[in-house]
Amino acid sequence: MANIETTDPNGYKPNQEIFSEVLQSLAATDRNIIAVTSDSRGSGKLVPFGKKYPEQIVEVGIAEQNLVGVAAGLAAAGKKVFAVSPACFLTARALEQIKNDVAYSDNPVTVVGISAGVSYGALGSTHHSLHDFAALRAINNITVVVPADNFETAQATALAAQTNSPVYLRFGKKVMSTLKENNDDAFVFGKGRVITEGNDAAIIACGETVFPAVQAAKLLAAQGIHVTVVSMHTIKPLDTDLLAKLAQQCKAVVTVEEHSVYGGLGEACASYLMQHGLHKPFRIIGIPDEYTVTGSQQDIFNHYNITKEGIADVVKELL
Amino acid sequence: MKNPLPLSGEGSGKGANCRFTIHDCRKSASLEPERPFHVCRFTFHVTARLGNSATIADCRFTIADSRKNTLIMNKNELTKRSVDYRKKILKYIVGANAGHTGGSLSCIDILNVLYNHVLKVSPQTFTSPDRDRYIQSKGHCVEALFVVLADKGFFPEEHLETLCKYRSHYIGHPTKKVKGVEQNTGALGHGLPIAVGNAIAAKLDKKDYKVYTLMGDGELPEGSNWEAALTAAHYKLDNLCAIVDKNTLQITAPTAEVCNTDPLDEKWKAFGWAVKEVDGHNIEALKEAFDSLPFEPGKPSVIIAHTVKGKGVSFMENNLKWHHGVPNKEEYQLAMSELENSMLNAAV
Repeated sequence: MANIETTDPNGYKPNQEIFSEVLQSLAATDRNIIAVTSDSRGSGKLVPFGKKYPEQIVEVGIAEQNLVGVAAGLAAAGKKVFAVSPACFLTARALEQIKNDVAYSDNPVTVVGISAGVSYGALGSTHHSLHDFAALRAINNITVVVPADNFETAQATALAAQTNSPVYLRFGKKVMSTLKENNDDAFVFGKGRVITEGNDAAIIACGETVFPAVQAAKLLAAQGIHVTVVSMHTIKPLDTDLLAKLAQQCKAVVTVEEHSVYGGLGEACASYLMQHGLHKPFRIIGIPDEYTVTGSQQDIFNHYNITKEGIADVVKELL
Repeated sequence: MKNPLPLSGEGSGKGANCRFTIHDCRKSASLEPERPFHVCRFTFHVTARLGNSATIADCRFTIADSRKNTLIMNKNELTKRSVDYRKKILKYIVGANAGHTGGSLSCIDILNVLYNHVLKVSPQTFTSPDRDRYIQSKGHCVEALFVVLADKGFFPEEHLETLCKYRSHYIGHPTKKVKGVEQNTGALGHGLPIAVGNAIAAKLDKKDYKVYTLMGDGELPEGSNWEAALTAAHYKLDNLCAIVDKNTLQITAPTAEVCNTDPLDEKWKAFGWAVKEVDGHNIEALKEAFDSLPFEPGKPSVIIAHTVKGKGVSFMENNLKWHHGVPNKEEYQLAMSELENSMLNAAV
């Protein structure tokens, strides 16, 4: 494990930046790659993309419904479209366009929710997206992907461009170190990545919460408790094979997500385990159903125990 | 067999390699002309062989040039076709015991002119990237669309007997499971943004195809329409044409009482669109409007089509009850006999 506890990870970038870099490299050889933005190219780190490929960026202004509808129309005409906007607006205001124009009409748009979860921290709940997994899990025909580190983000972006069906990509603003020394495992939508291994408990996390989960694993290991940590980057379709295997071999299962505890990764896992008779001590760590505490993303994580200590404590409680 | 049948009509086309095809409606056979002929703006008289004793009334006249599938019909033919479409709309709504009767009757002349005069699309070219696109934003008037698509040969008309039945693809709003449908619609305010995306793609790809979307006046308060209207003007989408089926009634009350959108022309103009207003039941006026697209270079065009909800059946016209009313047996018979009479008038 390299760099896991690095707080100032030199050389690593926010996933949003990696997304933009990969998109630029794809656009260099494929004129059909199109980014659609809603005055969001700055926060989406797409300014260089727009400068380099002005014909491959479509700006619609602050109009998310239109953003997704236009993206669907571009995709229907053969473009490989990335519709980029803050996840909070994109998956709430334009939910009907995602449901109908992208998913139901099967237009292969990659809907890209940036600055997701509580990335915007102190800007408050208007700018938080703690509902997007729940909303999109209930919509047929869209793959929901939440890459954790730069490697997963690069892979997911490239894969989304090749995928001829709707995808939701979701990431945040934080500089993300790499989870694994060797990123030689194949990255496939719907297959979780095992980051650490251990049979005492399984921690299933996604996005920016995988980091504190891996740190928790380190803390626990020092106390003789060995846990498997999974980056469950695809919320739907869920890697139920991996989930079932871990539930069978571990004594407890904990999920962690930067999302409401309702309808997200945790409840997806709980539903599968319950319906398949895999009853192990189980806990969902996420944002509870209350007015979210104010503060930075880190303040909010700390408040709701999305920290190495908080996660480790829950694991110990269950064992 | 072998009785040369003289056919006549008027139309226009381009190029030296235009083909003239006669479809015998009863057999769906397609016969080539005996020799190629040149087409420009013209009145034509052609002799072709039909495989049986078809009369002119049984035939569809199409002229297709080898590049664009231009489709041209004469005035009488289109007028008769509108009546026929209206009869079929009612037939299948009665069969399904559901449907948006009034709105389908208000927009059918627009669809008639679009599919028989304007759109460069056919079952054979439907997957071509160069085809014209039609997106029906007012998806609830799907019966009008289905009847026209069946007539154009996208699917056998008998499929419509399954309308709204268990496991049928022919449901109460357009879906791509039905050949000829570009996009799944039904929630209002969605067609225009998608059409804008299509039109931007055409510009990026330097393609000539045009994009059309039909909206109801009742759906105009949806904000997404006006977001898309801004984008269309911003990108100077003169390859885009929106048509507003302004039948002035919606489910609750007259549109002006529910949420007034008048003066509508000024709103579109203020959003940077070029506007024409036409009688949405006047075939010639509709043809003329579509033929003059784009109304202004560098601007998207909107046709505000003044229509009558329930048009063609006296007791349905301008009557809210028929927004999604289904005629009972007597009403159906009465409506059909009214339409039969107008068919006779159209034939004169």
